[in-house]
Amino acid sequence: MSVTNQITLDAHPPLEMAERMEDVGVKKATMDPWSMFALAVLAGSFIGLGAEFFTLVITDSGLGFGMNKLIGGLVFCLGLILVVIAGAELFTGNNLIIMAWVGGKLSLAQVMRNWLIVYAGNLVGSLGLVVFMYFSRQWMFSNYRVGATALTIANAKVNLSFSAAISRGTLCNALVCLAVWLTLSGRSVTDKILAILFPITAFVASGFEHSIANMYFIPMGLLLKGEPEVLTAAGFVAGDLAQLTVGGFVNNLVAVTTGNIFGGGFLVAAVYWFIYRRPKVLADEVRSRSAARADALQTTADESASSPAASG
Amino acid sequence: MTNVLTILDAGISILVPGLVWTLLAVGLYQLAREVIQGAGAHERVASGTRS
Repeated sequence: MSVTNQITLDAHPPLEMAERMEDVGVKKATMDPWSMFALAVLAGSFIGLGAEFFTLVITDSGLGFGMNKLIGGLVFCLGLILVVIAGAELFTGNNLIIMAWVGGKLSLAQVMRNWLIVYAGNLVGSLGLVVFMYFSRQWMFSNYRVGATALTIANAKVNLSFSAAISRGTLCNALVCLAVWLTLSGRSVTDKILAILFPITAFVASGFEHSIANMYFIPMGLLLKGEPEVLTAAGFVAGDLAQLTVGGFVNNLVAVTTGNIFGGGFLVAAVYWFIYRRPKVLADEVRSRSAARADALQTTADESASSPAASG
Repeated sequence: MTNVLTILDAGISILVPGLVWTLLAVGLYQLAREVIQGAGAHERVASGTRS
């Protein structure tokens, strides 16, 4: 008896990644709801930590525009690295579950159940982190300039037009889902971290919109709006922050979440299903149809063989 | 050119939300139906056990 121990270092090819994504999607969507919710709360706070790290690092960095964005994008990767490696349920990444639905392995109701629970959990996790960050008084660092950066980011987000928010949300989640998709090719923690770095850095540096990150950025801005020292440090006067309200937050979330679903669910998950899984589904269909036809022919032959006319 | 851009802007602002919100509406409707059917089945089992 021979035992072969093969250690493979090659990345999983896209065909295998698509198959793994469908299986992961089924596991995620059929998870116990309370575990799903707890993991979603974690993901909300993980992404919030990435957002907080980003805010801190880009404040007074002394770098030029592009380099400042690049460094900010790199540190923001903390959020998705924590989600993927430590394990958590992130709404934007879970838009890839669409692949299992298109493949007929999940019902649309199961996808919605997962998205609803995970979105609510992400919101709770993000808001929880906002409360802790506010009371940590970390926004007072560098003469309130960290708070000023947070306020400026939040104000820019709520002032986006509907089409800009949708477009930026679409592009953002296309990159986030590509990052998650790339992690499926990896076999080690290092592979997965490297797979995350470039797409996430690109989306953050480009200023695209992530609904779950905005669940941290905008509420933080809403709290800091009431701090006079932060307003002075940011150079805002009354009226500059007219859009920074709960209503502005909800409007931003609606548009950005719509874009995120389109970018992740349609432009990445559905497209990759079409490229890699559809041919297999079609081949299986043809195989089962020809097997059914062969069965029918066999039954007809058996019936004619056992009929009285035939036996007579 | 400006007209094309205006049409594309309207396309993004109308078609993308239309597609996504339709998917969400159908999914939520199916989820609600499943939940109601599940609750009905649970009630029937409970009343059957009592009788």
